[in-house]
Amino acid sequence: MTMTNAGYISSETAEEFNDKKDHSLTAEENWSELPHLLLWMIMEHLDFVDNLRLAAVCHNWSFAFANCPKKLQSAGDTLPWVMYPRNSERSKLVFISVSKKEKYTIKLPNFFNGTKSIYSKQGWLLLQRRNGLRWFKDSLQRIKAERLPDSVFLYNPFTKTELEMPDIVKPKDPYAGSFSTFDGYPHYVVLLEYNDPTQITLQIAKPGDKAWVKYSYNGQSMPYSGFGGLHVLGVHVYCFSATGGMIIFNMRDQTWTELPDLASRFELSYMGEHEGEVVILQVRNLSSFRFFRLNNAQNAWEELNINEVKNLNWFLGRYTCFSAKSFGMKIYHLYGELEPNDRLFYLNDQSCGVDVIDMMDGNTQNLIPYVLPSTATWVHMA
Amino acid sequence: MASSSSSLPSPSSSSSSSSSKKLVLRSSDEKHFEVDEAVALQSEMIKQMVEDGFGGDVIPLLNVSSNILSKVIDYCKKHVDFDSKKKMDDRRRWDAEYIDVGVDELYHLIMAANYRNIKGLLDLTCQKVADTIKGKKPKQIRIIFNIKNDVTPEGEQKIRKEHSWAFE
Repeated sequence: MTMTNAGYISSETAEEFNDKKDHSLTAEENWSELPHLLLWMIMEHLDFVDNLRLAAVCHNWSFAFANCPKKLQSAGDTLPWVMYPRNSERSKLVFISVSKKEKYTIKLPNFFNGTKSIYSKQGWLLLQRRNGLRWFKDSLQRIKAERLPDSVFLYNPFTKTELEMPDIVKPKDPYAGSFSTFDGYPHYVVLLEYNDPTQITLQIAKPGDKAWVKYSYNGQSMPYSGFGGLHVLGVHVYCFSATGGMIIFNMRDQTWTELPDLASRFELSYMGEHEGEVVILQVRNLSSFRFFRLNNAQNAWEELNINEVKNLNWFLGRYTCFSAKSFGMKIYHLYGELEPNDRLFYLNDQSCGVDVIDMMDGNTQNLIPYVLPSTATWVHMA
Repeated sequence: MASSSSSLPSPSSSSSSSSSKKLVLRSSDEKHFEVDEAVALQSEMIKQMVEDGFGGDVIPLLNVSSNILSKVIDYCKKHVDFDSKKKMDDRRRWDAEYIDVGVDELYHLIMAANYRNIKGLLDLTCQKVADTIKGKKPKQIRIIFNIKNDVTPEGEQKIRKEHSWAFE
């Protein structure tokens, strides 16, 4: 097709045409007046911290932030953070963002002595607080002490929302916790008592419930020896043991399923989550790795090849494990992490750090150039 | 949808195959752009206009200047190409180079993409703005986008007070 009209510009010449023009904005064309719909689309590409800073730029942006239909409950930066209480003032918690390598100090009004975080997911912390002892006289007029019920609650440091959970009457240490989320909010909260290897007990409640409902299981063919991880996905509660055993509770049918121990020449097993399924990482010497998926339909383990877990990164401590999608195949190893109960009373000596191990080539790098207190742990703020 | 297609120009009236059918777009400063229909239809808004029977004449685009329109056409043209070849790496490279523009031009592009409803370009421009904001303090963001700080002290304090940790 030939062009005859001189007023026509074919798109072939658009580039040179483009170069000659300046694009300066008029008074009405102004970034601060950007439509809210566009600002919301931009905010979707940013994490919580960047969005807070965006909101402080000008009135219209602040208004768009305040009226955003999608309320962010999480950091939105996809990777877990490191958290530890400040030595001098325990209600102030220090968070380190792995993706930004920035350090924030956030005050948690209800996080004082005796409080510890036992689980976290999508910006919510599951907190347990010991409330000390009650003294009383028994029938023989002897003075006795009884442990007061523990308080359990959920707290979101970004939205400053607190969700109440029922107290734990006659708490039996140690117990682990976990919860599922629905629409960004905690849904089923599950506590696991595992001090007796022949019987595990789950306590389940939703935020706002008046009491926990108890479910016990003592039919295990192998003792549940040591806590290895607890996950709640949908209606399933996954109780992973330190020796690679798995006991699954179905909350809908109230049925228990036990899986054989993962045959392992490996030192350590960790439970993570990948695309709505449970995945297990086995590690030896932080240098060889194997991956397994739980086939729910067949109640069996399936070994995965590396291509299936590419872009899944692992955040491991001695007592915490999170998996998150991110570029590459890396282990973020928090060394020196204390057992959760020890974190309660331990004074901060500086003995934690984070190494990043590339599972593909074995390269190890230090993530944070300073030493962290041994009360540091991973939290899922993403 | 047979009834709505009756208002479209019949395929036989185009010179050869449907892929070479042309549409004429007119910018706010009265410049005319002749583009392949497939290119113009990347815009949901133009697609709608064509479906409503406005495809035969010149399509006026009231608030897009010729320099921005030519840039937008560049994008749509290239992406018609990409859609047929599906080379993700090439597309990413081309997009990165394409969107490497100043903030004023970026403003016109994001507004044009929004008004014309060109999804790919809208995503690309929003991502570019987000990348520019990422990791910056409010003061730096204001300087980059030439924004006057009109936040009232109370308004600003509210966000800063509630989330002071993010501003330290």
